[in-house]
Amino acid sequence: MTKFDTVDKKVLRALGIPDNFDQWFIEKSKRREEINERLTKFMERFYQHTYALSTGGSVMDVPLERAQVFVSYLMTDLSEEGVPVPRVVKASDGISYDLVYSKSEYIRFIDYLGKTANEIKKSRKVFGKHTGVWGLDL
Amino acid sequence: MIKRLEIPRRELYNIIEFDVYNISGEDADVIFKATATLAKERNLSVLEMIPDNLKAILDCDVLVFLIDSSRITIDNTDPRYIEMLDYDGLMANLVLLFVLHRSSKYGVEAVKLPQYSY
Repeated sequence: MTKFDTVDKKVLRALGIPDNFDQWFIEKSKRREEINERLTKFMERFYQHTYALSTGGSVMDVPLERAQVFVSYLMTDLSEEGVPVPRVVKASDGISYDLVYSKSEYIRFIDYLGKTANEIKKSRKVFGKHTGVWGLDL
Repeated sequence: MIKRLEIPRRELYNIIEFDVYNISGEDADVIFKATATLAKERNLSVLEMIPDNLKAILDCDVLVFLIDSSRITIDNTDPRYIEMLDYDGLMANLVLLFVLHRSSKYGVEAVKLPQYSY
């Protein structure tokens, strides 16, 4: 789920997701039961058809609901002109700065992709023009 | 004597090499709807007429559906509310297209596609 930072705080609270959800995602990112539960509720409320198909659908007897859900966000603050600008915080090294974004979710996603890739033993050619990508299986 | 170790990057990490396609849901939906219209005119199954480039995406080993959270609104008098419902229909159709295509490929009988509209 993309652009999670744009979700109304009222919606987050109703779903049991705290206002400072970036910290919440970092804390819960390893054992994902709570994240999955809250995001499932989110889908049930707002994207019911998509949710119904992704829970009811299956391919070769593998239910689609086995797929993992991740979120992406970039935290913002309002500038003096009232325009949202990316939030910048001091990095852990104390001398540089970081953007506050969904880093923990990206790491989990890459981890999940690596595990899935490991299960696909057979390499194959694909149609048409494509971009080669290198990734690390963590 | 110091001997420099030359370790290929591939051996240092467990590296996986893969190809990536990126297509917007709206584009996939336009292609799919145009195909469905053409299939109806020719009295053929829409699954048989899916263009090769869209098929290549549906055949990928890993599919990631990006669902836009910024379309969420709780105000049902806001025009964006209808847009949110339409977007839900669009994403649902994409998931359905994927399931039907794969089912058809693996020899499972495909069913008629329901269309969501509000």
